Amino acid sequence: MSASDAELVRQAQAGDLAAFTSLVLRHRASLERYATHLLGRREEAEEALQDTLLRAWRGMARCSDPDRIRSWLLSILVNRCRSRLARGDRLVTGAEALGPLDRAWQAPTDEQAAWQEEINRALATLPVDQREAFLLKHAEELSYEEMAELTGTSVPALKMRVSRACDRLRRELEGVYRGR
Amino acid sequence: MDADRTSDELDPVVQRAIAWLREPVAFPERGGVEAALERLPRLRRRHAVTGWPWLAAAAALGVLAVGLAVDRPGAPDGDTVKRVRFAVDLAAGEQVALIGDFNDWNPDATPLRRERGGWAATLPLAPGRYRYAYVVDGRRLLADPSEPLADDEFGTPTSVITVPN
Amino acid sequence: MRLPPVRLALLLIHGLVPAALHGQDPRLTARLSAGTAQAVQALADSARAGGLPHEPLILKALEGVSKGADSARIVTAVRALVGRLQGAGQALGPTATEAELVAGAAALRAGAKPDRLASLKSLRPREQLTVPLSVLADLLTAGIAPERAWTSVRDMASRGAADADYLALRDRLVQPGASGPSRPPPPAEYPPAPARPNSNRQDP
Repeated sequence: MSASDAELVRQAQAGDLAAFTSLVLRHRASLERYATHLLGRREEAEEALQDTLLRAWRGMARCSDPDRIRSWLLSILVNRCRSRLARGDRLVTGAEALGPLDRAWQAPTDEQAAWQEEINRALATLPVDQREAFLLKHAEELSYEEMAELTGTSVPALKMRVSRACDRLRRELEGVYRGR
Repeated sequence: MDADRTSDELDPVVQRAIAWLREPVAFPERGGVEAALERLPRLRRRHAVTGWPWLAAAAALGVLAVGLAVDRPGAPDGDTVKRVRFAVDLAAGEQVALIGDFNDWNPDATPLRRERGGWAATLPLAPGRYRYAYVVDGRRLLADPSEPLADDEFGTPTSVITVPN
Repeated sequence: MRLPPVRLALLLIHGLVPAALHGQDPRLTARLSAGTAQAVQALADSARAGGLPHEPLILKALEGVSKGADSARIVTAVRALVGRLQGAGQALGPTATEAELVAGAAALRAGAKPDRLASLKSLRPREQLTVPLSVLADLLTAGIAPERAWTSVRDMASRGAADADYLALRDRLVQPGASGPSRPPPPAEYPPAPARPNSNRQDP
């Protein structure tokens, strides 16, 4: 029987890298999904994820509620994504300039690809705080109380952001959807 | 208000978007969180002496060691890991690998993949200075023609890359 | 937040705690002969006791063995790096990061004077020096006249230049893949020496 999150957290806090790895892999879907949809590009998401996991590993001792490790990891990721957006693009010089990541591993149909493009486009029209709130609420299925703790924003404010995000997405996507 | 509705109660077009947003995102092999996890063992070794066993030993010796950083600090909190692309134009050769400070100079750790006209690999690197070289077909050591040469104590071609903050 | 090392307490800890608690780095024992691994580990432990990073020393040994260097050459290279890291540490101060020390050591090897490292620190007291030091090392290695290399980097530091500016300076002055006035080095044979530990090998 596999170890619980809380057990793995305690082991990771004691310096067990394998336990930390297990924890991260267990929650990878949430982390990779949030970072990609918030930042809009896989390569940006990968950098934010790397930042996040470095900080999480170094700061494991600060995880005070091992049963809620996913929220804890997401809270670090949310902050790293915010920092990334606030700073804008970073320069990498010396090596060849970064190009887009290969997409060879995924081959959606043309229709799916088009729909995904539309969702990405619609998401990108949302202000960051609304995008953040929408993804945490509906993609990651956190409660408003969890979101409040994670983002430092009040529940009423978060509800307003989610509501506005839903309105905006509906308007952006309606014309596209009806055409299908 | 939409905010209090569950996903199932929202407008169908928004529901459809949510369904897609809930699906796992695919990353290339060794991408996503795996790329970050690969880097952690190096950090762990660097900081091993600051872990709990050391604090326990120090306390037992009656020496207060709380908060000591025996190793020099690693990357400052503000540093961001960068994805750095290594690419070399080599028409000939069956396999090319990268060896350097970022992979313990292990020729098996970072094979490059074939691309049109050459070979490439992308690695997550913290800001810093890294020595490296390419190994071609397991037999030849090459410096990187696109980066400065490093001074080498071992008499072999070695390049250096500096990853900025 | 970084805390400065408390040197007396560090010396007490490392004097009283048996060296066996550090253990041998498995990368060394897997790839070097027993004697060489022990010698390198001792240098690394000693460096760590003195507040220096040990990872660059392990990597230098691994670099050497991957390039087929013999034991004597590997240990010499690691020992020399310890000296340069010490020099960089003295010039840059106790809050220098590992990356800064590595770049500083490279600059010293390339011929930079220690007081110039200290000058750079005084010009950029609150910013990372990794890139300026690394660029200084690259300029000197490429054969740029020492005074020109130094004044270029110093002037950028005085102006508060960003990391990208230092790298751009280097790219303007240095031909990639070239060292000094000569052509890029030809490929070398690889791997030249066996990697497995061998108890019959002569060790320094």
